[in-house]
Amino acid sequence: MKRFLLSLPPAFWGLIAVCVFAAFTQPQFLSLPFLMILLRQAAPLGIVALGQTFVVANRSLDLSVGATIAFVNLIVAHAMWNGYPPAFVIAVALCVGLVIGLVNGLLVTVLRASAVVVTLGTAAVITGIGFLYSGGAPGSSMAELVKWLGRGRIGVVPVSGLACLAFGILAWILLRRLTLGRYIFAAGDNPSAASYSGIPVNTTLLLSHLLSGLFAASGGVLLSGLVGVGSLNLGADYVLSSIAAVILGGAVFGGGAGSAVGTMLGTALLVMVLNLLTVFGVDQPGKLIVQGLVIAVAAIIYQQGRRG
Amino acid sequence: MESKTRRRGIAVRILEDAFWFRQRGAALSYAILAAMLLILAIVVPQTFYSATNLSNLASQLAPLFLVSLGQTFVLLGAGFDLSVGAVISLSSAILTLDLADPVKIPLAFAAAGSVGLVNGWGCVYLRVHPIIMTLATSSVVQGVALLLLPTPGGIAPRILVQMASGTFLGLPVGFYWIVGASAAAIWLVHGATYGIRLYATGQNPQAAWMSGIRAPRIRVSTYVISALMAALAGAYLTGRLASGDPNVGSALGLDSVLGAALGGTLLSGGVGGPIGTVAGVLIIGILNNGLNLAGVSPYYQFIVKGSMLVLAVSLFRRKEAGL
Amino acid sequence: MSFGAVQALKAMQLVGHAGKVHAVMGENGAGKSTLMKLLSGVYRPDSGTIRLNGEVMSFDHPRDAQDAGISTIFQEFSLLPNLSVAENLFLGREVENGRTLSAGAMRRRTVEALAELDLRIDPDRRVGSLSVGQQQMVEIAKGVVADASVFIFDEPTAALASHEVETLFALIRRLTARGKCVFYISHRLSEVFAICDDVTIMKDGAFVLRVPTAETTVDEVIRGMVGRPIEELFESRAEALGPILLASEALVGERAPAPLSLRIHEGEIVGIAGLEGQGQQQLMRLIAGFDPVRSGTLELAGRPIGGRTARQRMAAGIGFVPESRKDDGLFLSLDIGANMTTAAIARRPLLSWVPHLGARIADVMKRLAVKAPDAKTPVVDLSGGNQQKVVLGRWLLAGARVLLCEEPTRGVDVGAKREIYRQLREFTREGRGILVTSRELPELIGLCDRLLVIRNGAIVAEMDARDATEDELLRSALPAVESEAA
Repeated sequence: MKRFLLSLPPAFWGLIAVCVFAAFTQPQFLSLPFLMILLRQAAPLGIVALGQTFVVANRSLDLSVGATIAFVNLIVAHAMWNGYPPAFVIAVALCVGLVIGLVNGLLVTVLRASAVVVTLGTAAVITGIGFLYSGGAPGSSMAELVKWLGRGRIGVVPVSGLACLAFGILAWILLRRLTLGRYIFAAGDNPSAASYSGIPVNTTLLLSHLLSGLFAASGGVLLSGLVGVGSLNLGADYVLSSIAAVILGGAVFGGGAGSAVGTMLGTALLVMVLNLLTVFGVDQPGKLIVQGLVIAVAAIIYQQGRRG
Repeated sequence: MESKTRRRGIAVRILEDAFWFRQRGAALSYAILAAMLLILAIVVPQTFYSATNLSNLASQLAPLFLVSLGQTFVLLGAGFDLSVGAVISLSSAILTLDLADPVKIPLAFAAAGSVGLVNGWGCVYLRVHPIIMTLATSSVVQGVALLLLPTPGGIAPRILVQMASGTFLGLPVGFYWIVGASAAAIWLVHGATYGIRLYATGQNPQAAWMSGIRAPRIRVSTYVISALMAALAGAYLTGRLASGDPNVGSALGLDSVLGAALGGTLLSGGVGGPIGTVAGVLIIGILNNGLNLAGVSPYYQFIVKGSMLVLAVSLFRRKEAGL
Repeated sequence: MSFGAVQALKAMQLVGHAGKVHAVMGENGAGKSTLMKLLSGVYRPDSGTIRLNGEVMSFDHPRDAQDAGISTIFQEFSLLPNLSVAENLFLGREVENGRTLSAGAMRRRTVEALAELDLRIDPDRRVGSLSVGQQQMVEIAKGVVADASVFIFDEPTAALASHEVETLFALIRRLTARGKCVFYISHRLSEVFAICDDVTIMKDGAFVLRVPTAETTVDEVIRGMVGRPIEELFESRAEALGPILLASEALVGERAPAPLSLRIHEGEIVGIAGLEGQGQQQLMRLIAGFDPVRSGTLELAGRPIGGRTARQRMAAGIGFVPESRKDDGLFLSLDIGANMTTAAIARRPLLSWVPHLGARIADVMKRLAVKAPDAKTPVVDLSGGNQQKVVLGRWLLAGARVLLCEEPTRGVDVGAKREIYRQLREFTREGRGILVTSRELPELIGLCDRLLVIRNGAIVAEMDARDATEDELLRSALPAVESEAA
């Protein structure tokens, strides 16, 4: 029991604290319609953060998720796809995410270059290609299907929330139930021991980056639908937020830890705190400060817990 | 045996340190730099090697020199500082506050120093991963900068305006900032005791501690140095623009890592140094400059810069994959 | 001294005299390392005193102990590979001229210190380019430079070859001749009897016995540590060998150019003996598949192993236990179950379900007597011996038929060694075989059925372990010229 309580991610306790706080100060915050709005808003971040979980658990990092989201947004909003079925456009966007993940993964595994620098580099390249592709003027011809995915509802439940849940279950299965997950945690904890056990360390890391690229692109499609138009800078703050969600979810840099459920809780906590701040009239600077403090405190607390 | 024993003067030592002992990559960086200069001499000799262009280059590159040299210290100590961009913005915001110059100038550096201390304390004593810790502080610091100065504006201290613009003895002032900062960093790393202890700490903090080095303090000091260098860069930028900008540093944060990495400083600590960083920053600056002179679209410059980053890390490869 | 709820040392006493070598012996976990770390200022005692020349000392930091004249040569050297010999010697106590390093002065004193120890090492060499033995000499010179009066050696020969051990002993004798006090921690009885004046034995963090080495015997020392005579250390050998299990014919690798031909039978433990760095590592890695094969054949149970990669060899049934458990063996933040299953699931498709191995894991844990409540226990909480069992269990679970085992008992105490010998013998039942390397000749003789001697990357002799003697092994392991001279 004690082992179980200690293994709960910081986000779990944070979420309880925030809910209790909201219940006393802003009860309407916890009403079903408002929670559904939050869910719709959190879904894209949740999916991106789930992708980030794979790479962080694998002792790596993906700083190109923001650029990936922006690029996907430029694709789905571009006028050149007007005659094509919307599903095809989405498929193209997801393929672009896979390609970005593949490039990241190849650079990290084949060149053995630092993932921080590699993904920063690919992020710059993607941004440049995005500018060239859109000619500096993002389109606004977005398919209704994309908009429905980002904004639509089934009953009271937002479509994007369901999508996020589906991705969450997928990530949970990949990490906890499939061999790949075992490989990721083993290679993340000790790459050398993993290769001496016969685990295909490079393939595993490559797949982690591939998944991160795919998840980021999927989150990008949902976010594009939510925003409804093309925009040059969409998703820039998702790099920091996705890492924050993963850390809040109990992953430790240096690998070997992290979970799909934790990341979902982390995303929920982050989105709730930021919205609660909006309700209290706190502006962007204040939100930046609180976000930074939350990340630092979570990382510190979890680090201290592991030491003991 | 006797034939091998020779005196190692300081000049010899710096050369050995730079190109063999601890900065094996620096020679490669200088080779790349030389090749670039040669290409420019062939392709655009008049425009690139003109006095105006070179003095522009010096003024533009001074801030990047400052932060990259600061970042080099952190990387040598096996850390990573993503918060330098935010610290530049913060110092720019503080320096244009409605306060007397003798108050706000020390205040800007004190604020930067405190950010460095918090970074170091979190990474070293609380053992939070440097990327996470400095990402978190950069978010907080950027928020504070925006609170202090929501939009670009304000008035820069006059002394900074004087120190950051114009020429001195016929050379642009930026040149003196570059030379001063590089010389100080090189002396600190290769001349002073601090340097050896920094290399020792970066390679193996445990072994350094066993040798009686206060390794944790050294590691904290690298973050403070980096933050102070960022504040200096902020001061220079504020002086050059003669006003403040709460987002002025955002691009420089990553470029500082690029400058150090292109100079052969490894992200795993203990290998590299400021001599290489000088070459690294010059490569970035001259490449940007050359692309501008050649009339390449800024969109392509993004792509070039990203590819360079990837190229830099693949030139100086490590044993293990990952972070 | 206590760690959390565990008290690591209680009522321990240790006395040393100038000009004498004092051995400190005890099983792993007996508290030797803790005691030495107290003396060297790495840990602080909860109670009790350290006196140096009658004066009570208190150390807050390794630096304090060094300043007081205590120099410790730890098993993991505290040298920095990218610094020069001179810089390493003065690390933490650099000679300064103002704030600038005075390289000339440091270099002069380095030359002096190296001359004092009669060492032929270039003070400007990068330490990373020196051999392990030379690095240890530099570590000792560090104490000389610091003008230490007490030298503590923690398992100094663990990484040394036989001829380097002799150099080390000569150095220690030179230190005692100068009136230095030396503490010598080692598991190797022969060394203790060769170099030490007296021996202090500890057990479970407490003092057991202190006797002059001249007045005691190997058996008495071992009884003091574990209460068990030496013959019982090893399991009985295989009675009858099965058919040939692993056979290589003229196998040549990129890094192992000498053609390798060897056989391992079912139920057999084959040992590779030789001086340090004669190609043992390359040989193991060649068979394990970490070194590309150039020519030759490798057969397992009569069938050629076509695979070129390590993964394919492992899939065919060859398991590899690398020397460094912590760096290359264990996943410290994962639990026993995850640690044991890595090899068993390594050849499954990436997107297949993780098989339910709970019952088999429990079975292997029972068979290897892993001391842990359940498979969910993190391996970081286990002792070194139990961690080694987890690594062995990994290959049992994976169904390996041949185990390549590098230095299975390095840095492990007598009691845990016995456990590991038992587990290795246990592994060979049901038609499995083991190829093992070790720096300790008595261990190879006691543990193995057959011994191969390696020299310069080539197998130069083969003998039945039952008849082998240390003398004979050493003779064939030494280079030809030296053995003729001997």
